[in-house]
Amino acid sequence: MSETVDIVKETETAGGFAALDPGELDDLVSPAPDAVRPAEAAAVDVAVPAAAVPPGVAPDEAAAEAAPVDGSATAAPVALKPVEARNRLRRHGRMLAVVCAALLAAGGAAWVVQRHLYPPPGVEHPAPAVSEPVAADLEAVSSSAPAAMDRLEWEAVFREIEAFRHLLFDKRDEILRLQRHYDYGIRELEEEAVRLIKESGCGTLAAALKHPPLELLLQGIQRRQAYRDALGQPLRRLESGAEELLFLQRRASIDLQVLDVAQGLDLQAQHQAIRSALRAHEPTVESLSIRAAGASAPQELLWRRLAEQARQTTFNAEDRVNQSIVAEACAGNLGRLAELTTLSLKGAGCLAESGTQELFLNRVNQLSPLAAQKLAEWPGRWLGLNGLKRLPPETARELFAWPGEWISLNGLSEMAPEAGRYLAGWRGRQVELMGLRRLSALDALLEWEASGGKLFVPGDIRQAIDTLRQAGNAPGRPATGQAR
Amino acid sequence: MHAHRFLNHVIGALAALMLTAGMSVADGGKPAELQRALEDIRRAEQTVQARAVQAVALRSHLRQEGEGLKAEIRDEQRRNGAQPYPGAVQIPRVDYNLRLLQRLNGYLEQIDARLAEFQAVSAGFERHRERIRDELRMLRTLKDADISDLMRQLAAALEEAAARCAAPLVTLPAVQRSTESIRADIAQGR
Repeated sequence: MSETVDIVKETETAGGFAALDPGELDDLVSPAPDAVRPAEAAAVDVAVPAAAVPPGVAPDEAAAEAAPVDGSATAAPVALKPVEARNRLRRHGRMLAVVCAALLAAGGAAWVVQRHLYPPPGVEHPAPAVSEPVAADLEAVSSSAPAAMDRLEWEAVFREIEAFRHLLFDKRDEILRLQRHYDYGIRELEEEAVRLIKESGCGTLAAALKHPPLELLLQGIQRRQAYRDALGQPLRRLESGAEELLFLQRRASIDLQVLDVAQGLDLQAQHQAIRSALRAHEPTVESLSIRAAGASAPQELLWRRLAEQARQTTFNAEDRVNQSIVAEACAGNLGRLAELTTLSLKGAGCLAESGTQELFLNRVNQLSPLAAQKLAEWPGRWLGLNGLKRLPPETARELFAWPGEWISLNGLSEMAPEAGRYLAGWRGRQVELMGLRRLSALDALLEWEASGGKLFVPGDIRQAIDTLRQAGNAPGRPATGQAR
Repeated sequence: MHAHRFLNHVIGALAALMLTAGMSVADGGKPAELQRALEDIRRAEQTVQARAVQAVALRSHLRQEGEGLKAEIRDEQRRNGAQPYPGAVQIPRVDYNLRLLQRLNGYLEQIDARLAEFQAVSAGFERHRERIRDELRMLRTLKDADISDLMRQLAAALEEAAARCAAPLVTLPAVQRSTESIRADIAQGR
């Protein structure tokens, strides 16, 4: 038998078939349509053919009608046999009928059960026994996810971390502002010290230390340097805490993503680590304290640097006038600001704190990036700097961070594209550039105007901008003129 | 007496015939058994594929996370200048991201291994399916075939597939790649 099987297999393989057609499988599993099922065949054997029964006559009646025929056929032999034999035959006949009925019932019941458990293809039926573990396992896999409460708890923990990190960042920004303040203060004092060194004629540190205003200035610079540098400690602690918490959050988040399909994860330990980190990085007075904040730079080094600056600097009559104007402005008198030609750091600091809404510094022809940065803190509306002939990108970056509304820069004959990039991002409402002569940074001017700003420029520049705008409205280019 | 004996024989023969017919209809025979086996394979394969799809989706998501972490490391390196490994891990974000990548890589390697397993299981199912079809042809031609060995093998294969599907896709990575080699890969743009 097995040899035959192998031969058949080989023959079929050699024939090149790969698989059966679905119809072929059906043919193999279900009997041919014209074949009579055993149960049906049995039923045909015992039932009275419907065609033999007259219409309106019940099968039992038909059988009863047929009986006399059979009876007449058997009447003679029965009459010849003894009664006992006849009775025995009847009993056997009844027994045969009962056994047949019982067997038919058993076969029918088995057929019903088989149909229920294994219906033909296409009929919905329960999964076979061997498939149940697979389905059950998959069910178990999908239901092995943590309870909804666990997820919610983790989400709450992540929100807590986020909020905590924001707190740390707020504190960090606060410290950074303070650091910038000290940094600016150092430059301010240094500027003053340079002037004082020049005026006093002190040539050595020893001589400077005998000059009380200069000595105080040097001490002040050192103190601010020490503060500025010491602020790096809490700054680093805050940043380190924020980074660690981000790491812990991300690690837990990654593990939560695989949790449904993982085993042996240490999420409980991670939760404890997060709790511990939240406690450890709390921005308390102790954790923010500045320890061992000593003098930052040796006095000798500081002195040498300032003395060298003083040697290279010249102070003329104009500088003295500027100094006196700044002194008046710092005292609250802004009446002579129109005469100011250079804005010192101290002057910028005093103006930034003034309560006026309009500042016209139209004779100022030089503005350092640091002074511009300080001036940008002024909370006024209109700033006039028409004396500036050049606007370096570094100064432009600070100036266009000013939160005011109107800026006049009519002394500029050219706006460098790098500087124009900062103007394009300014959030003010009006810019006057009536001195422009060169067609540069037009894209930036167009962009700023398109974002809702009001731009005042000479006619030829206006024409060039309008041309550029029309070209910009051509198909394929983004439309301009949107409100900011 | 003869008639009585004859009737008893007839009854016995009929009973045997009808019982056989009933049982034959009830179990559907070997073709039906093989057909059910094909159905079992189809179901098990669906389960394996569902698990594989789940693994692929997870892998894609974790890879995406990994790319985000790598991008942050590159940004930090651009900001702080290219540094050798000891200096680079002094930057907290770089150090932490390398550690997260270490974990992610551990998970990804396990998922890759599991996907290879699922593929092997599917290939095994295909072999079983082929054999079942062969046996069905045999049954059609020879009216009989010994399928008990096939059914045993199939039952074992289905059981193994179920176990593989039920097993977790990943566990906490015990052995992890060094952060130094991960960083070297990132430096080389991998």
